[in-house]
Amino acid sequence: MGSVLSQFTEIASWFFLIYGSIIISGYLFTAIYSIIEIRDYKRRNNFEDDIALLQSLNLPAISILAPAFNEGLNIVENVRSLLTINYPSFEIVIINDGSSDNSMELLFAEYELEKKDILYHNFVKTKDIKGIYKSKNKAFKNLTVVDKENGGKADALNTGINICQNSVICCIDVDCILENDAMLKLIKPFLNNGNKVIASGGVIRVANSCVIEDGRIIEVKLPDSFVARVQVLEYFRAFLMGRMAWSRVDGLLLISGAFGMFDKQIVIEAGGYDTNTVGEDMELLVRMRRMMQERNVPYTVGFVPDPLCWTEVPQTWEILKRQRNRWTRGTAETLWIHKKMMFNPKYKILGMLSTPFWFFFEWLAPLIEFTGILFFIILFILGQVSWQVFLSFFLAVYSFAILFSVTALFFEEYSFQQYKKPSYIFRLIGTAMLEPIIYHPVIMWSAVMGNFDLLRGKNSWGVMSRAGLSNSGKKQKD
Amino acid sequence: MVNFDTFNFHLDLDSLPWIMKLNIVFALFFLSLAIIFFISIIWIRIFKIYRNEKKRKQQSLLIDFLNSYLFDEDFDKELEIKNFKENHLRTSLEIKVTIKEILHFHENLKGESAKDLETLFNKLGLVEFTLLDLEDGRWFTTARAINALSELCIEVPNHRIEAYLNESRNEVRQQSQLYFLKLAEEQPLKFLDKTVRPLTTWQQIYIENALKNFYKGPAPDFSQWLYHDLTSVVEFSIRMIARYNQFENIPELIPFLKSKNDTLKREAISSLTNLEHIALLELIIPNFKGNSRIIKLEILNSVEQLGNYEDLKKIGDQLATTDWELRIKYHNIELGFLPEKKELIYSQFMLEKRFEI
Amino acid sequence: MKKILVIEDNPMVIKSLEFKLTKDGNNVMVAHDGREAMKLLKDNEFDLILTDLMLPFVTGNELISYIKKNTPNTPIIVLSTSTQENIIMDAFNMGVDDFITKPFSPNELSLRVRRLLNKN
Repeated sequence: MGSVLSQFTEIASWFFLIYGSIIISGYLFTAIYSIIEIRDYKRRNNFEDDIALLQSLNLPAISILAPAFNEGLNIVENVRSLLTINYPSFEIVIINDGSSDNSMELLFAEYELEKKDILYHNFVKTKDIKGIYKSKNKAFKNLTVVDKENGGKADALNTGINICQNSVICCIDVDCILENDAMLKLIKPFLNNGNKVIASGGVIRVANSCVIEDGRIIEVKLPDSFVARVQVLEYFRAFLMGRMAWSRVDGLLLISGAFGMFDKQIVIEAGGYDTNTVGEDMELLVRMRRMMQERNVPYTVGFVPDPLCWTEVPQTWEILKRQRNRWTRGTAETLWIHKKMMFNPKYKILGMLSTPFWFFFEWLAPLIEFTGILFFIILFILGQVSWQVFLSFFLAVYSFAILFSVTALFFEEYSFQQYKKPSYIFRLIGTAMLEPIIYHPVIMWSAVMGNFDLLRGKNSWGVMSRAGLSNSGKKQKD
Repeated sequence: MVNFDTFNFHLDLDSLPWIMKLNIVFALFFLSLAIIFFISIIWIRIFKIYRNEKKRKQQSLLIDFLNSYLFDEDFDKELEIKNFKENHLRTSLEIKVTIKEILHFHENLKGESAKDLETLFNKLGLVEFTLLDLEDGRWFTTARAINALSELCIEVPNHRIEAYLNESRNEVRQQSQLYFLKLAEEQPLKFLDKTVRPLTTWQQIYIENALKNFYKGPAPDFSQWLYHDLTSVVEFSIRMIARYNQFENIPELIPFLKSKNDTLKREAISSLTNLEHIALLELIIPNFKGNSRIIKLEILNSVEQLGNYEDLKKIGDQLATTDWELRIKYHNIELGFLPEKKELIYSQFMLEKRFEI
Repeated sequence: MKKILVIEDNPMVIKSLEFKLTKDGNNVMVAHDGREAMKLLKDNEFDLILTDLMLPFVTGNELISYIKKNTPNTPIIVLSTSTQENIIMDAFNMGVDDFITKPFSPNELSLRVRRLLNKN
């Protein structure tokens, strides 16, 4: 038995080693590409003259779509802050997704709404619309409020797509906080490229503990809670490293549901948001890209590294676990729906790099890790654990995790440096040192449970839609 | 396989199994990299704090200096400029911040104040620094230098900028285009003749803006670029013909209504509409059906702007029932023509919608 | 001494306006955003208001309709980057007295301010 086991251990060791090296080279690739892209972006935007942009008649008009489900607490302020963004021509469409609270009444009172007969067509099929409202007050003429039956976030966004007037749409979470020039920045990729731009995404930051007044960030602070603080690091890694690099090679598969701009016509042709998956934001972009690739039309997806959108992340373990469980299911569902693309050279970068990467490193990684731990436990029970090997292995993995976070932190310092207080750096480093031990196992476990739930056939939305929109859109991966 | 009972630490690396050696080497490598990054972070932080403090000081100094220079009649300009030059333009950071701040002021001001700023820039000796930057060789420094030159209307020999008109970098190209435009006394778009790379929408926005807000001479005849090799230049020229109300160029635009290129065709329709060329409608309405979606939408726009209900009805017959986007647009225009029938049109549409007619 | 409220969020423009208008012999108060402006408007009376249209917290249009409702006789000058006809028309329809686009000439602005102040 001993020799079989030792042979097995040998094979397993090799397996983990190879897998580990691939992951490490993957990260190396992201780090290098990201830093090039960030540097390039900073240089390109050295001198900016927004006046010319604001005066231009050539900037496409934008429709900002914000679904709201039981957001009564802040909806009035959030809408007001949306109305004050800097952009020459835009409309705000708030889609009340059958809220059971008093959101509608509050909007009615504050913005002097009245019912309007507006012609629209269901380009994408949605739940019934109860009414469309506009303000009687000229000062709010950019505002449209749609009241509809509850159908989840994807359905609400589809409703917005059907009703809105402009050909460029920006989908956001109503509770996220936008920088003033967010739209001017996000539209840039649409103007700067020879190829057709079908979408552009921006960086999302963590708003927990920041000083917020009337829907605006007054002061950026590091979250007090450990769970939220780790997510600051996660968002650095995901956005400043991951997405930047993917954008450099034009292989982005995900634009966060909390903040992304799209060409409406392409979205409609692709069929709009899929209401049957919890990963509707990722699934839509993959479907759009797939459609463009199959049509053989040159196109691109833009990405802007400026911190433009701030959002509350889960502060408690319970909500966090639920969120990650959902993300795992979303990733798995999307990859499954589009499995045809994987390793298919017809889809170029998407087929040969992006989808395999997501499959092996986003979806499979937690499962492999889990298997590794199970393996370790079995060895332990059998008294076969080589503590020296284990400790050295653990040390290598641990130092890699630290390196990864510190690199991301370095990128942030180099580029935008949002956390101004010097003490924040030390707290973030401390957080990075604790993360692999305290936080990471929970994330891994949630991912495993997500796969388990998926196999069990847990319905994507169902109970989840009740969990509130505020967390459903904060999809982010690293 | 090392057994549980051999659990003891060897300091002698050679006696360890290979996998452990590898792990330890990796761990050390990662940790030392992490430490290097950590030190860099601290270093960047200290450097940035120090630099930002200097920057802030220089900026607040400049705000006072510039405002007094511009608006205070009792301000001894010559003496203060000399003072400032001697005491506050010593490091490259001070120079950079000063250039940037003067540009920022210049961006927001026009008229006499803008002129004063240009003089000041010269008197502070900042032109020389900008010219050094121009020769720097790195594209972003070059672009920044050209930006400053054009913003403040500082002339340099043409050939020094011309080379950048077809640079591979978008940003350098754009700045050199703007340079020629902003400094031109006449023929502001002459650079288009030398342009061989497409104009992005972004560049078009800035060219149009500079044309309107900086260029003071007579408007160029945009028809001269209607047969330029680049579609984007043609597109831009068609649009400008309308923006500058060059009615005399209407006959030149008509052929573009038959263009195979939808971008040009659309731009032509939109420009002729803006020029209120009523005869346009009879050229585009009869062939409505044979067009692509974006052209159809543009034709509907024209009817809305120039036509009447009768014109609209001619399109109604050519609309496919399944074409909901166009139908909605059609009915919205109809609502504009027949406000008294608002409710009828709406309920009729909702009915058709329900039965998917 | 006339009391002028400047509502603007670009610090450079604020400083210049403050400097120039004070030089002209006015008492200038500054609000950096719509909310601050609302507060100042509640507690003070002004002879003239100079405002941007794109402001944090409260839209320019909302601010204008608020001023027109409470102190309909206070002249308003809009100082904005917008050159779009419909935006300018909207502003005039809401009762704005003058519309100046950025980039602006400080001398011209000071002239227009004086003219409106003298009219009242």
